Amino acid sequence: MLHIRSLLLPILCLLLSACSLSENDTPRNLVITDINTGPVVTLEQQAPLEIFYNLEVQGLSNINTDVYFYLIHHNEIKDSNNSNEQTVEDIHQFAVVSLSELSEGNHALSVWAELPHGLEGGDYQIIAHVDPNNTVIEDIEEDNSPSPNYAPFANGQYPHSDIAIALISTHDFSLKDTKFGQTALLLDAPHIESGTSHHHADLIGYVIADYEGNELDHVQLTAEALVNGTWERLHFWSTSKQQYLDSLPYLFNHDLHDQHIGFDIALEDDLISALYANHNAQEQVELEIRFTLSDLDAEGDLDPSNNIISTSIPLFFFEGQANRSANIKLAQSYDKSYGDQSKFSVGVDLSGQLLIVPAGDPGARITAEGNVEAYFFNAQNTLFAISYDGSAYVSGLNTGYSSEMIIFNNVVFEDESYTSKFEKSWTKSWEEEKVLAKANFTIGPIPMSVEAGVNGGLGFELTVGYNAELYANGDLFSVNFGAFGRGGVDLAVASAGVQAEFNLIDNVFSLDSTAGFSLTSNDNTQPHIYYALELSDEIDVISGKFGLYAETKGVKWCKKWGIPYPCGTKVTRYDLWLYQTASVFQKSWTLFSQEGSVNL
Amino acid sequence: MIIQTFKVSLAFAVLSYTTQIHAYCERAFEFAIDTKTSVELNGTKQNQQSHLLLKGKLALKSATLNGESNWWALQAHQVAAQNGQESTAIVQYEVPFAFKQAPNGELLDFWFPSTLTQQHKAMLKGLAYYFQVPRQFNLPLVKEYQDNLGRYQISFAVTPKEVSFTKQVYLSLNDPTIDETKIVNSNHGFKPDGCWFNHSKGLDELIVSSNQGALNLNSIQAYEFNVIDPNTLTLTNLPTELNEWRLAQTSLDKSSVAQLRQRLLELIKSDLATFDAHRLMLQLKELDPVLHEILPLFGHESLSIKAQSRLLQALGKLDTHNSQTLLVQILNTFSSDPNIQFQSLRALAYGNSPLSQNAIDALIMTMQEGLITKEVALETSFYLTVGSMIKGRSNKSQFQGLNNALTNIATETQDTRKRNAVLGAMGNSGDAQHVDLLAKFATHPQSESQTIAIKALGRIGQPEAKSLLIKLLDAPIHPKSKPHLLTAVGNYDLDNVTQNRVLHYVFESDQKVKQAALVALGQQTSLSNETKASLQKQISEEQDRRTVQLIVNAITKPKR
Repeated sequence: MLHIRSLLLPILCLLLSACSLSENDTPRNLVITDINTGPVVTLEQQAPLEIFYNLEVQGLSNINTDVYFYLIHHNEIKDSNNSNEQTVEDIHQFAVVSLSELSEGNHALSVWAELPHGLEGGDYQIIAHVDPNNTVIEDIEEDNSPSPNYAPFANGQYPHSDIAIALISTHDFSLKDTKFGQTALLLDAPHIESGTSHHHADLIGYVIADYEGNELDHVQLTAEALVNGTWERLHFWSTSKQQYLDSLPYLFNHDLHDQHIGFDIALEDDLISALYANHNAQEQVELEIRFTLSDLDAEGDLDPSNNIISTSIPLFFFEGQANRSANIKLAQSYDKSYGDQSKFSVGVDLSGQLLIVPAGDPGARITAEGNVEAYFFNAQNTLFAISYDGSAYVSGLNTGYSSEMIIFNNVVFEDESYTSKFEKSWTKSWEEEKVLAKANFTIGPIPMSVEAGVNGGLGFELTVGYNAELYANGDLFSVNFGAFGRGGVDLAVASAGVQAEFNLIDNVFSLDSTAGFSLTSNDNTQPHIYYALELSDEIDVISGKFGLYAETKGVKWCKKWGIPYPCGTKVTRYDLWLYQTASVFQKSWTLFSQEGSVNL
Repeated sequence: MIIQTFKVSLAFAVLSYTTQIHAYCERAFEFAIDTKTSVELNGTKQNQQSHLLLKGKLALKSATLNGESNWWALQAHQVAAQNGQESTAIVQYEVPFAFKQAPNGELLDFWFPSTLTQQHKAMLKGLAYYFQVPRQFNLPLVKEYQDNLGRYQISFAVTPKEVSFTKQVYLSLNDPTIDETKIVNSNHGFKPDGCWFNHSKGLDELIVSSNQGALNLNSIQAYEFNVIDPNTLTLTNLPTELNEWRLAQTSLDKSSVAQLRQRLLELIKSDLATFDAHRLMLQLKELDPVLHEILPLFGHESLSIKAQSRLLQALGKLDTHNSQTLLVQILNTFSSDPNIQFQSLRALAYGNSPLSQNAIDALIMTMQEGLITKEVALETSFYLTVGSMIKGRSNKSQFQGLNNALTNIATETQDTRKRNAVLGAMGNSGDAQHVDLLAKFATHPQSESQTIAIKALGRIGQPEAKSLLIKLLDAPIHPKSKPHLLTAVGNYDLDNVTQNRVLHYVFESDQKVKQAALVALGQQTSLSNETKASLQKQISEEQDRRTVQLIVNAITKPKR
């Protein structure tokens, strides 16, 4: 038995790491021994850079550890005589490396990093901190980073690399892409009475712009359409001035590439007339549009050739064929989508109508409909849809109403009633939230959850009825949804994920409509039908920011004798805004307004 | 080669011998699990990672379930997230539970002593999966294992010193919201000890993609387990038979309830309108056992309308059995306040967890007796919401009672409004068992419910409903139902022949019918060139702008 046992032990030790088959006197230690950037000395902001470094693993094997790289401004550490501990302010963590299964010995490694934005120009040091979270037990911890307490690092002898960062004073803007929030441009032929005095939002869409460089001047966006061989100016809605102007001013955002610049464009009447004059309804026609981005400092933009982008859109005209009946129809609709469907976009489809039937079985019909849809990461969702249809005829036939409300693809309300007289009033307001994009799963024992969606309020306040007069007045709907984003590791201790300060849509669609009989009135001694329709909309969509964040418990840095060193922890929040856009579409306008009477 | 073979055979021999020595496999371990994640949105990755280092201890011992062996009880202790010198306890991991293991190491089943959320169970299972290693080496080693993410291919390499393995690829994924899980790097190794191991270590680097790649999570997770003295942990006090476990957490004592009640009152007294619904839900989660105490506070002047609204929304998001029951109680109690009733309906429509039997029973009773409310329209909303809940919740097998109630009301009631509401609810439910009854009303031109039944068939999303609606295109139906028939048909994907039949209605004089036909065509995934050409010609014939807009949409809109 003894024999077997003594034979077994060394063999077991082949399997079990608990056994120490040989003495190991080398102290356990991780230390960076060298950092350099190769021949690069001067770099421009946001340039990529390769950092070469040597990591010594002593007395340890098969370990996992991290290395964090920092940029520290020379001004922070130039005073080598100051023995007071002070906090370092101008220090930036700009690269994180996770290393696994490191064997004992010297490792020559490298990592690519990008210089962060927001740096001041000048001289910097690149320093490193190995095992910043203290997960590896070492016999020598003081040399994991620069330290005033570690003698070999005195007098600036800690591993670091010196680089100079130059801020380029020039810049280059470019237009990368453009998309419309409608698949076609449908214009009224010049002879059509649209019920409003001017156009609104003929073309909705956005351009994607980018920049290189540091000094970002103001720019302006202009747009032109190709009409009969000549480029003609189009006009942009200005939220601040609440009118259409020749151009759209824009200030680039330092933090963001792929900047989303939304636009609301109207075509002038004479432009529409010129387009209509040569329009052939039987042919597929496309209208060419080009956008130009101009630096308001004429000499600032390094390369103006990438500032123009051209596109086209199918063009149709509503001709409004001659009314073959005595019926009078007052109607208007608005169907546009705002934003980028691959990220977030919202579409509104509004319509309202008053139809007067003066002859035969005289009567009237009022309809109103509103649909709000959203796209989150290319997935379409009906947020909200409401419709009302009321009619009244002298004979009593087809007199009544029907209505329906859909919230998040579910019918929540539907009603119809055909009766000789009716009056209804619907008033509701409430809050909603809907997750439109999510990922929930568990990796090992760690739960992860990321969600993005809409939350906000919905409401309506509409009074409809028929009692000798058919009427529908009030707000067909009001909706105010923001986009939210939240999540990451789903335990209270760790925080990173999606965030939003984003208004998706704020819209109130109102109608005021009446139609009735009158034997005589102040203005008319004949029996007649009087009518009035006013449709108005207040809209503000797609503004704010959406992106990612990470709150990390990171290292707090101090300095003494010109040597930076870790002196505690602090929570640092890193925001990465991916989508940031100002309010461009805010307006309140009358879609249609008309009243009149017709003799019977 | 001969020496190598000898060493390996010797290792196996030693293993089977040690199996005899360690037949009683009670073990304790200390562990560290280091997870770094970063989120990627629309192709842009964060430079920063969130870092979570989870440390703790756990104990394992053999167990039985109804006398069946091959079960192992596991309980973790002192689990905390570490950051330098600071640590935060995470007690959720300390619930004892059990897993069943096959000789090839695969974890076959789990047992939990109480009702836990899916996420909580997954967290505990995640600890158990570290013990999913081959326990016998005289059998061929498995090629596939399962974990929280899904089923994956695995490849082993056995040496005298240790067994190593790598995850190769995920073959199937558990969560439908995940599109893909890519294994960037995988390296694991353990030193077998006849039960599991006395040391194991590994790393997985994964990219988990969802929402067609728009939302990605990059994760690097490394772990290490080391065996420690089993006498230091308390799992040995629990019985071997799992059904005999009686854990204190299943019922709260009086003082704990009183404390929760006090916290709830303080929360309600604070300005709830300043909380967003998500944060309020997180607060209510901890107060779940005393949620019923909220009922008398509703409608009280101390609770503002905005606060009430926020509270109802938070209860909907909370979606526990207690919050579901409370919402149904609020719906029935506040018959004089249609706003509260409507908001409680919206809150019930929100969740997708299984409905509690209490809530189902209460809903059935309300359906049978009718919702007492000041606003007639609310009763319609009530039935429609029940239909949405049947579709949206995950315990469909328990809903036969609700479905039966809908059928009974539809067939027995003389109240047209009620019948219409219930037929609408059937459409919302998406349940094929209602198609026949809806068909009965949809095919009856004299029926006051024909329009509603047709609309419901359009929503129900079942192939039998689609066939019926297409047949109805040629059948006699009431003129006011025709536009709704076309809209309903348009909710389904139609072949070219049916699209042509719908196209004929575009040339009718009735604007309602014409527009409904255009909406139907606009929803199709593709239209033939002939159809598009016919529609284009029609533009210049139309006197209604909305109709022209719908034609343009049908021709130019990119299809889903």
